[in-house]
Amino acid sequence: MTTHAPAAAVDDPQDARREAEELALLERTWAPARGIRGWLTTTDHKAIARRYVVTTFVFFVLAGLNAVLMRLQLSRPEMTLIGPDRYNQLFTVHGTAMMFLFAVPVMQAMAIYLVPLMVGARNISFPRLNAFGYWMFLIGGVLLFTSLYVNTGPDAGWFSYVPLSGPEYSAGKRTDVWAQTVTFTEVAGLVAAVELLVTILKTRAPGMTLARIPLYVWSILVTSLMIVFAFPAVAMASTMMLAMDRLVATHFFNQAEGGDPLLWQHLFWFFGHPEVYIMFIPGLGFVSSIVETFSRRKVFGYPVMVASLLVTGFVAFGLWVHHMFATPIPQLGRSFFTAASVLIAVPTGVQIFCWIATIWSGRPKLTTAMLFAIGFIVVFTIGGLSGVMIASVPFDLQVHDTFFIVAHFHYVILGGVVFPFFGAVYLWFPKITGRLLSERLGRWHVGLFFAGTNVAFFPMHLLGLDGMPRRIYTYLPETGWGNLNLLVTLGATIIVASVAVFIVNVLVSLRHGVRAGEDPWAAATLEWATPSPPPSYNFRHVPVCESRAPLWSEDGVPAAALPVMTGLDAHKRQILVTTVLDALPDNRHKHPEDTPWPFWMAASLGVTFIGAIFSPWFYVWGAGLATLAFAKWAWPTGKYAEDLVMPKRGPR
Amino acid sequence: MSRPRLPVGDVGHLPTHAFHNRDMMWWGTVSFIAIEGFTLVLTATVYVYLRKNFSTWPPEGIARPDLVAPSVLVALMLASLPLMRMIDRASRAHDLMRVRHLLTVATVVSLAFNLLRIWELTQSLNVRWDTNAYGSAQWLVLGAHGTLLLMQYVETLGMTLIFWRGPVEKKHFSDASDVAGYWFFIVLSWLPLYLLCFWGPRWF
Repeated sequence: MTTHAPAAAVDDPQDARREAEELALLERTWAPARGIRGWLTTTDHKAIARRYVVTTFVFFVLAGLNAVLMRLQLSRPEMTLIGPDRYNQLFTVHGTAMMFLFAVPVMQAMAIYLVPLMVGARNISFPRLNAFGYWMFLIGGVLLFTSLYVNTGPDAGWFSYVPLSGPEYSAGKRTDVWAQTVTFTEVAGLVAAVELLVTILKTRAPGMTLARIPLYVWSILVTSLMIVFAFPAVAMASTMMLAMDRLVATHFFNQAEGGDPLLWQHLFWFFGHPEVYIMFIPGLGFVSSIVETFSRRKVFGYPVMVASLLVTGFVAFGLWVHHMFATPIPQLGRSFFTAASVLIAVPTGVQIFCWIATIWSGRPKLTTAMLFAIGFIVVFTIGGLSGVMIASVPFDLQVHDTFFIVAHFHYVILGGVVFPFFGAVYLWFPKITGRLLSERLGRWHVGLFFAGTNVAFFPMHLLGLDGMPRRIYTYLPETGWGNLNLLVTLGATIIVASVAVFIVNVLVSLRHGVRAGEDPWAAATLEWATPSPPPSYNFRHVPVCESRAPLWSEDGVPAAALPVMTGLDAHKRQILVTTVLDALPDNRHKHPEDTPWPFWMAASLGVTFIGAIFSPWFYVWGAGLATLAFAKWAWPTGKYAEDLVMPKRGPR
Repeated sequence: MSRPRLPVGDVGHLPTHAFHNRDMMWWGTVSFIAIEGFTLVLTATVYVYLRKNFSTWPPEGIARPDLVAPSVLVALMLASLPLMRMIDRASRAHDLMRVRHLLTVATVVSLAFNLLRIWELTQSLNVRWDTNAYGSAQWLVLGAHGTLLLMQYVETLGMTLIFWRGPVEKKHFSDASDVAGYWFFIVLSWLPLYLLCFWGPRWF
């Protein structure tokens, strides 16, 4: 890496005019087009991430409304608000949406916004792929909810077990909708993972060695690697096997012809269990950022924290069979997966101790974000403890398919995903919008959410221990489950109120929030070294990273100046590519221009996959359409051509 | 209020393209190879998993797959690898004419791969996808890899057209080099799957 040149502050008055000209030029080079054209063509990671986050949150609210309807139905015995068929669709779409349309994608969406800024890059590594991924995700989500509202919603549960979801027991198109929703979301998830991986590996700021990567970015690196190896299992199982069993009569899961229903469970959970960690490892990263920022010191035990993330990501692939303890698997297998399930609590526990040590030895400030981080520690730990309980086979067999399981995974997911997500919004909202969220409303939000979560989900443990099965649309008064269910419904209402407070807070703060400035929290990482909201080009100059907390001179003390590197061409969309391990400057990559073709490519695949619900021939015609769209996407236009070897040939 | 910036270096002298692991696109290609390669591993796992449900493989009444066309495909694939080395070397030398002609040959070879795969599916396997789980497994492995063959053809054809029609920038040589790298993956990943699908029914 280049060593320090003699100090020469760039805010010298003589440079003011040149700086203004350069910023205007950068804005012309990087800014998206205006209006609907800009909306369809932009490849700015921030613009795409914003709409991604909002879209995932809309799906969160819609799936939450499903939950409200289910809770109203279960609030008293023998309620007749919702019948069994509708109830099946409601819980299936609730689970499918929360997992495939909210928990994982919202984390990726936040990462798409934050990671390029945190590593000091001007954009994400593959910006057109990023736009494509969003459109694929949107089509998948709209497909799922539209199908629900026209009474064709999937109804075989979010993990769509065969034979229930197979052609024999699920006539009609409901399960096909599920399979294709998964296809859309998995494609979106995979391309986002690739973009984030390459952004982290190849576009880090000079000096950001592996030992200086922010813990949040580490969490995304681990998550993205996990996605690369977890998502193919469910994509293959749903698109190439379940959908084909239903569409063209293959026999993967048909026991009569040598197929195997348990194979579905293996493939699904080989994805499904790492999915749990894929959801909450970014949450761990959020908590690290929050705790570091508001404790005013670097996170205690950085190497151990990184090692814990890596170990969690690795061991997560050795747990999937603990979802299948109720199936006939060998005794040795049960013992192995029990041991692994207990083992994985260790690295997460280590991180919790590190956060507590950080808070303990820092100067903690109890902002709303910090309260959400503390709420996470409490709720997630309870979920983790019940997880260790059900890792034990005899206990698992007792509570299998009961509300105890529902309680466990809601503690894990709300604790591990939603609490950190809300905390992250309070931390980074000023960066994204330029305004602070109201702390007063924030305290109501966190208080209600913490109370609602515990009131809604703790009694479910008791209901499960009392034998109440999950996925039943009603129950008899003689069971004695009525009062606890009413309490659960009350808790759900409190959660609704807290989310409503959050939405009001966002809407009010967008217009009337206190202006944030570049770095309202005096935080440590590079995303705070650019205006709020960041300009289209993110950074005027490439920031240089000289420590794990590049904006602090020592714990909690803002650095006087930010070292930068100049030399990227402002006339072109150039980003700096650095080496993988040491982040040494290596080459200047020409970034692609904005284009509508990722949108059209997603649209053509939308026609393909939705059409394939009805006929396999759509794969043939759709592949042709998609190829045409991809050709337009990838064909060089010659605009801002660099090192031209041969110009475009004109018509002959 | 923003912090003052302190220039500590200049990157204006750095090249605007690079090859292999210095190039960002290379890492993207490697990432997709990881995804696709692991998907192929999973198809093979499904194949082996389903095997246990049958006493004979293939099940009684179904002929074993023919070997001629699949072996020709494997031989052609292996024979094509030196062509890829040549494309890689010509790309690094920024030799426009040579890359252009070699890519044209590669497009024809890739088309032959695809035609042979269609022949394998329809003539060599001796089983349909909907006959039983054995047939489904055979079609799954060949189909999954066949999808990659098709993508390889589209990619190679597209790169060839770019090198004939232009505009060609230096960075496109790096892309052509990546096409060659991806080709290695397609060929090498097929070798164990070829043994599994065409020799497996003879061995287990």
